[in-house]
Amino acid sequence: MWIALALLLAAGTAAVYPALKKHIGKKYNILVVSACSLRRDRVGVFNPNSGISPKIDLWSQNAAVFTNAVSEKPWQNFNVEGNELIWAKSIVESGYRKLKNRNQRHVFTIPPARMEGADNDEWSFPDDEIHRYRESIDGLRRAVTRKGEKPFYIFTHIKYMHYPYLDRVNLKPEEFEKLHPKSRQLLETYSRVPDKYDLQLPVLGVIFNDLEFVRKKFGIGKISAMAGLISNPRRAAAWRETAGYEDDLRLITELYDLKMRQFDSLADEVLNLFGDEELQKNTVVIFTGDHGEAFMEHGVLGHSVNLYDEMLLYPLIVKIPGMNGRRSVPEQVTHRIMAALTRDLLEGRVSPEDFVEEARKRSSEYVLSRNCANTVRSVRYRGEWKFIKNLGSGKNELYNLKDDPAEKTNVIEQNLGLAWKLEEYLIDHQEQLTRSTVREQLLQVCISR
Amino acid sequence: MKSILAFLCILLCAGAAVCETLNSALEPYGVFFPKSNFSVTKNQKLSGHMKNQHVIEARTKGDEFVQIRVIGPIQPNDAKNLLGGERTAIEKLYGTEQTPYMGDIAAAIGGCPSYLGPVPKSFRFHGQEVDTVSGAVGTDRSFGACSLTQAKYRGAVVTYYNPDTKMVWIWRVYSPWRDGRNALSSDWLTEFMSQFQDPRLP
Repeated sequence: MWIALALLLAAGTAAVYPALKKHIGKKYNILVVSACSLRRDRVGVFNPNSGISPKIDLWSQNAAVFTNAVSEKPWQNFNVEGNELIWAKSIVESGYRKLKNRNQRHVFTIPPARMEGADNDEWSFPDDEIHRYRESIDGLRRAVTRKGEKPFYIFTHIKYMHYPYLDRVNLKPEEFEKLHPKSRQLLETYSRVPDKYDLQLPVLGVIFNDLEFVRKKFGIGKISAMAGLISNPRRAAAWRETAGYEDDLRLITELYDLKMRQFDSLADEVLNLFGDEELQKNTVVIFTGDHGEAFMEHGVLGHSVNLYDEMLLYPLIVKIPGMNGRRSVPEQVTHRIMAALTRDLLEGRVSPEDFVEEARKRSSEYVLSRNCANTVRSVRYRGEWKFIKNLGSGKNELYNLKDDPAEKTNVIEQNLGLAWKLEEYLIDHQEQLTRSTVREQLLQVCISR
Repeated sequence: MKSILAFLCILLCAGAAVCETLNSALEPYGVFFPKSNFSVTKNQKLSGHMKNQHVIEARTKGDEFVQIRVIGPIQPNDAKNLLGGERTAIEKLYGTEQTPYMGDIAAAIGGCPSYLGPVPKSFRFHGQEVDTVSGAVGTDRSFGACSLTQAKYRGAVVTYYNPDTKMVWIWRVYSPWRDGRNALSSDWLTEFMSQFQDPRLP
């Protein structure tokens, strides 16, 4: 009787605490490929009108496509959100290969990180360092294709799509000729006489990211980034009033799309595991963006500033070996949900076969997001509604995402009851928005309080 | 239609009993103050799962405006976080722009001139110490106006929590910008709020 009771207790415990039950089975390699600043609507799987990512689309034919992957902080990535969940020690203790890259954090940043002379996960973008992408992809290839007894867990963050949108080394003459005539003219003008274009500083920033030019212009010391010019709403508003605004915007989107075509080939190499068929059969590949990128849909360029879907939504596609056909997953997920799930996959609590179903179970009806300053907060409910609380203006917004995915019509006055319920949720869970990651605390950026 | 009625109310009813007054709107909370020049343009009550929100907006012919939000019931710790968040967000709008990148140009450019805000202040109101932050406000009543040409109003967020009723009070008040760089250095806010003081309370 006691044995029966013990067995019953164990079964009950497993039912109540499924996390305790370890999956006994084959360990797969896990490769998380994160693409910085990748707009979801540029990936054909999410937008059939895109047409500029044929290789990624082909790769995702036998994969799970998450159509509501939402960034809680539109500047953070999977690894930053997940690095409190996926520890190097845990990776090794779970039977995965110990990597010998410089920081042994199983992280490959492409291009390699360098800030103020120290290697870390920050970066700077000299525009002549495109070759570093190739070097780091080659480094990743060596790490991935090196055969060993133990599987690998690798996270790689590819910065290719992040501004600047123009990498001079990469704009081939034939690509330049394909640009709109006005775009070609503007590129030449802005390259030759940028000093004349004060109102177009957000444009110059997002295209060239010429730190030296900006330092001289403002008479300031060393700077490492210019998001304060690129994504500044006041500067964007002034630029919007200029006669050449529409032409500038066309230039920006053309260059971004050109980069996307190039990125499609680069990503294809990595996602297909460098053509290694044995690896393809033994590796779970998670292709994830980190956040979107705005092109003035709501008055800004770039990211981290506001919380509309062009900034929050990112592409997320998961390929499990043996998966047949493309599967759409509409439930809302976030980086933290996927990082926790990946940790459980790594530590054997979830099997690859159950990964997608488990993601659906862990999905969240409510996703809370905030901007870098924590002056704007939002609740995205079931992928159907978005409530935005703007503490600066005191004006709240509500969008019906099914009828109005572009979030152009604020319907709060017609839905006051729903808006209040979503705001109430925000109030009840506000602690989530004040949580800072290790990176934010270390670098003292985007502090919530 | 509603805005036409509100406009007529302001024209005809400032101070008169025929239109809703702030006093009558705040009566459920036992708050009373002598007649003010404000006419109510919105009096909205919403029920949530566990909390309710009451939003009252009122204005004067002189382009002064108040929005009062009463939210509750809410526990003390949640109230503290909510109110702290409201004030901190306003303060950040005048400071160095926050970006995700260390060494960003935003740090070198800096924030708004200090005479535009933020100006924190505490004083007694409705029988308790209240925390406020004020600053320059633009034409759309958005805080964070960063130049004298942008500054159209002096604005303030006044926040407090009543532990007895478990209600949070968030006032947003606006009065036209005056006196250039000295607009926020005067006692304008305590004077402004004095018209809503309940004379029965210390």
